[in-house]
Amino acid sequence: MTEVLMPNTLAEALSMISKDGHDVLILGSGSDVIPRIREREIVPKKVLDLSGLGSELNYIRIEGNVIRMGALVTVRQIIDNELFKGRLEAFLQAGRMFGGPQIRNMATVGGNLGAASSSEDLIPIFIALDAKVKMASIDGDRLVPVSKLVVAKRQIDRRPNEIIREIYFEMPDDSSWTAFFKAGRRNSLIIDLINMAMYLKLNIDGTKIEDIRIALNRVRGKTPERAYKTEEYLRGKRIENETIARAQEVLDSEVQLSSDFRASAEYRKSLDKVILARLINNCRDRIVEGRRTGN
Amino acid sequence: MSEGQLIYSAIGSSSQRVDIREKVDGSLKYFTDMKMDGMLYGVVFRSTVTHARIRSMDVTKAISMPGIRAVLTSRDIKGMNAYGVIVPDAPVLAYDKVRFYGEPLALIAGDTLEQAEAAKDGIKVDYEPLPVIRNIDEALKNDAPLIHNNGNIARSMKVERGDLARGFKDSYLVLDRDYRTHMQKHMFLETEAGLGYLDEKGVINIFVSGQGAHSYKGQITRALEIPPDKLRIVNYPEGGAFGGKDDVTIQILLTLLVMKTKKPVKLVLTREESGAGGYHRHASLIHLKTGVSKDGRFMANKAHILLDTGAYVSFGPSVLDTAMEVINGKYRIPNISVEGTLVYTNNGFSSAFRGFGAPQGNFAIENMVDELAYELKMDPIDFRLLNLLQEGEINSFGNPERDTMGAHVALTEAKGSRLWKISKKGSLPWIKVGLGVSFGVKGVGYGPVKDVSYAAVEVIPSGLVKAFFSNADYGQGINTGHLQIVAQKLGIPFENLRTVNADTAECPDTGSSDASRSTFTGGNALINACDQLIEVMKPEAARMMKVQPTEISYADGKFTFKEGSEVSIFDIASFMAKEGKGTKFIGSFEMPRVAKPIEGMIEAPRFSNAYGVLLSLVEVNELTGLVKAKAFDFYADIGKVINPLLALSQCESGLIQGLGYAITEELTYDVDGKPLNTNYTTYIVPSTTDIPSIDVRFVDAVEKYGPYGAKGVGEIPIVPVASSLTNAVHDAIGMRFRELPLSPPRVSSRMQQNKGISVLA
Amino acid sequence: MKISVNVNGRNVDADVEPRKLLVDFIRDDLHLTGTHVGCDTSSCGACTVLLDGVAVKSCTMFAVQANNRNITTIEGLSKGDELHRLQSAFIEEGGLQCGYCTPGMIMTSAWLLSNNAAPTEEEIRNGISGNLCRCTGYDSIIRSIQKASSDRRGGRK
Repeated sequence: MTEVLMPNTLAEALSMISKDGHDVLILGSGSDVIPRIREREIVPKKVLDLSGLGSELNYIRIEGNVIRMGALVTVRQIIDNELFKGRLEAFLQAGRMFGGPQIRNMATVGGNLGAASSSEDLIPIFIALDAKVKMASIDGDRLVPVSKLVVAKRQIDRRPNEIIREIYFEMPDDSSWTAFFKAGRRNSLIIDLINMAMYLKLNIDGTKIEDIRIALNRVRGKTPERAYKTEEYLRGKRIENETIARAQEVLDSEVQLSSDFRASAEYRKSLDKVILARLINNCRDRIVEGRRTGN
Repeated sequence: MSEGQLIYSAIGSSSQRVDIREKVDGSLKYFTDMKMDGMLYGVVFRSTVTHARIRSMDVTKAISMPGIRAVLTSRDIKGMNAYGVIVPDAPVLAYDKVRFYGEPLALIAGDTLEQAEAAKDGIKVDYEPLPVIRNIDEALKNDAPLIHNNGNIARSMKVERGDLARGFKDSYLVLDRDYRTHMQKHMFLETEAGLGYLDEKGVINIFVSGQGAHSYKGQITRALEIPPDKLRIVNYPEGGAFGGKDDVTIQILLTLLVMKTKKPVKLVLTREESGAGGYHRHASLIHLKTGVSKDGRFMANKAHILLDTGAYVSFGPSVLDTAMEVINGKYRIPNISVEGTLVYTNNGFSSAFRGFGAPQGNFAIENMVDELAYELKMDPIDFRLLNLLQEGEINSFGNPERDTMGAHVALTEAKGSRLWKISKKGSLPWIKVGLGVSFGVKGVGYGPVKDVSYAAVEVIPSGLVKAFFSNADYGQGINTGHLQIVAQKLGIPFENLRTVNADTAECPDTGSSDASRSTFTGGNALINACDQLIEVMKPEAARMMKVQPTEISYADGKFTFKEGSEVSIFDIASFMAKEGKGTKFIGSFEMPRVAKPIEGMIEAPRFSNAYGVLLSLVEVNELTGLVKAKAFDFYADIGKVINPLLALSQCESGLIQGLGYAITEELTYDVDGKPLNTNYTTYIVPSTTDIPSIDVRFVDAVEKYGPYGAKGVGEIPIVPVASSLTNAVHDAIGMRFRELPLSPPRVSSRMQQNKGISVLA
Repeated sequence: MKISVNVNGRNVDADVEPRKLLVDFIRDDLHLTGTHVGCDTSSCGACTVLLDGVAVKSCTMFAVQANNRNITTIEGLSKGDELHRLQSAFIEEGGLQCGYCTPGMIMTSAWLLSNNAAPTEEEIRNGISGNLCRCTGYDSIIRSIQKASSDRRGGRK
């Protein structure tokens, strides 16, 4: 029989898992975990429900140029927050296609990070932003770069006595933009065929890519990954058709995608190339536009 | 009998559904909502292999588990332990062999659902695995393992007319093509569900999802050896069906559970079980060779249609006949040969699904027609109009054509569609726009099989008329449509009418809600019942008024002698009741049939047909392969429209199920024959954001034999959708897709092969 | 576990198994069967209820997570015999066929209109994109929601 633990403070929650934490499944809202419990995909001994910790773990703060989100921030809160209407557009692009409206009302950032299924849309964005995850435990906090967070499908670098407390990243400057794209068979409620997130920074005169980070999912092994070689190729290049075509080839050789009944790896690759081009152009256009309008 | 003057016209008005208030306020009790005191929970233990001999099965441990009241296997079945609406070839509970993944092997009844579920672990089955047949091609190989002892071909049919060789020889252009369609799941929101109990009279009452209460009753009494008077089936209300609840689903299982436990039992399939154990649309392989003259007239059509019926036949033979019926369109083709083969595989269980073989046949012929018109440089609608049979001409199956006038009108009206004027310039360079046409036919009723429907009306002295019929209302609105017919016939306001729906204890056998037949057959049977009501009540009225029956006339719920001297049917009912006379009148209707049936065919050719012309506007994204339907213009001949709002709703419904069929939906099995996508996250039905703008027009047409001129609307909308979309995709990107669905991977890979498209965005 | 929940304006104290889903609590314990179950995967939206006024899928929460919160189900939307304007609009526009998805559709729509009194067609389509219907093809549902929102606009004049 599953036991549900319902702490009212983080300290209480941490003490509940200080021992035997490996028996405990942590619930953000349950939008990922509960269907899996129903399907008997997982049979947890104990469930730790964090929903009572809203006053401690539900916040979006900007400190200097660092944005901090508590683990219980919902996808809905992200979509509704003005902060994400500009350079952090990737979150809006992902958020609007995340589950359906009811799931957006429920699903949390921490839950998304913790679930680490191959369809979690926020993780690639956080990777593209080079975000860091703050794990809390009774021994204190520990930082994990989000690019190192997912170690295998549905497995993250979290110790049994830890709870995801916060994720933070630097606000991109006015030469930068973020973008996200997800392709599926239906326009809502989709498990995607592929998704990709990008952070792109132009140089001072706006002619070349100064920095770029690309993250994609549905990679073989079902974990999100950075496309380091493609990034490296693109850094310092002008955004021209030949450059993009070459970058597509690099991406093609760099990334091993998974195959399943939804789509073959070949199709995913062809999509990835399209999305790469689309995101680069999208980021570039928005940066240029922003400079023109002074945003 | 005169119909009298109506206060208002019920036919053609958008009456609200009779049960709509209960549906919007949440008070309607569906089968999944039902409960009884002391109720047990039933679960089905199913095979976890696809094709195997059963060496042994041991349930002893399960029986002793906590809360378990019964564990039933084939040994507990006294009757023939087989069912199937046409051929009883499916065991209720498998015993010697399993033929698909998820086949029922045992039933468990427990005090709680969890206990019943847990007891599944107490059943052990020892299987001897057999090779799995995954598709039509594998089933027909010479060395293919046999699924049934009589081979892997469940049915063969052939129809020939004219001189095929001559027809091809005289053709200017002959195209030889193969078409493939896939399996589609019904995905009704409410899975197969029911509750049964034994009443104090020893009658087993089964409240269960379904479309044909009386058909189940026959099948159950045979399979389990139950006297017919000891069984009652009720099929209303339920959360969607679409053909997937047409043949027996859980009815026999539930009856068996109640028989053996003598307690109320509830059984609700999980979505996963509904996926593996429920029905789906037949996959097809259609070889089609068609010849035309230089001036665009059909010369010859040779078709071989192969359908994958899965492990058992269910409605397979009827579905095959229907596919064969539509493979000549309604075109003038002097020389034809149509062959049909129904093939067993281990792909679950195919059965009825809205359209019943017509979408598969239509996909092939209308794809072909579009290609022929294109090659001949003819307008696709003019080409169809040129070849469309006129009334009185002898059609491909040798009968005089009798109802294609509406089809001519629909095609002609489609020439004036708004969509022809829309610019085909995409919003982005890699978005290609195309417009496609398709013309669909769907016969109404069961074809050459004798089909007599019964329905009743009863006058209640308090001021109500009740209509009794067994066409189940699973959402299509037949309760409402039938009452409109009664309202019109009797001239009684809608609010004084009630229905008793799909209950074998009270309703005469009106047949099932399927084959687009309910309005036609049930409506006519109700009209006949009303005629009898008037005929029987007239002399009673005359007696009450002390006049001669010939001196009075019926209108608007009353008999009138002269101005001011009248008596209502309710007063007559009260008068008759005092004399112990019944006021329930059973009417009947026999569906007309074609003059010349075809030997061996059971479902076709049909007497009456609904027609639909669909124009589809699509956008094809050359980079991703995504096909997006932007607009549908649908022109339909469904005869006289009884209820415009409900008919519109049926059209929108069928068009969108067709959209799913054509683009996003595809039931897939893995190499071991296990279904891979049976829930809503893996099996992709359209959502609100995938819907094109839809314009539906009903042409002005009247079916002489239909109730008030109506035909049927349930199936025709889905029939032309897939072919219309592939034809539109051809218009957009110049490629013909002869295989469904138009999924992004399929479209994309074809474009990359054919064009070497650059993927620069 | 003991929980205290306000359901449709009434306070309910109950002792529930911790792993009981909110939807099962609503249907089995409170006998409010207007909230339906159409899937096991949080996809269909038939089980949608309002939790403190926000649309959520009640199959995707434990009942204990609703402790000290307000739940509105389809049964709580009408005031006695007086239907909510969305319910009336679904009747007038015929926004359903089998009706199984309808309570969830209406609850999601109620949340949508509470945030946006006059949504565009696109906003409506997005707003109810987490609710699946297999019968209608959705257009009649969209028309119903449009009708409900324009009725309210009309009422404000």
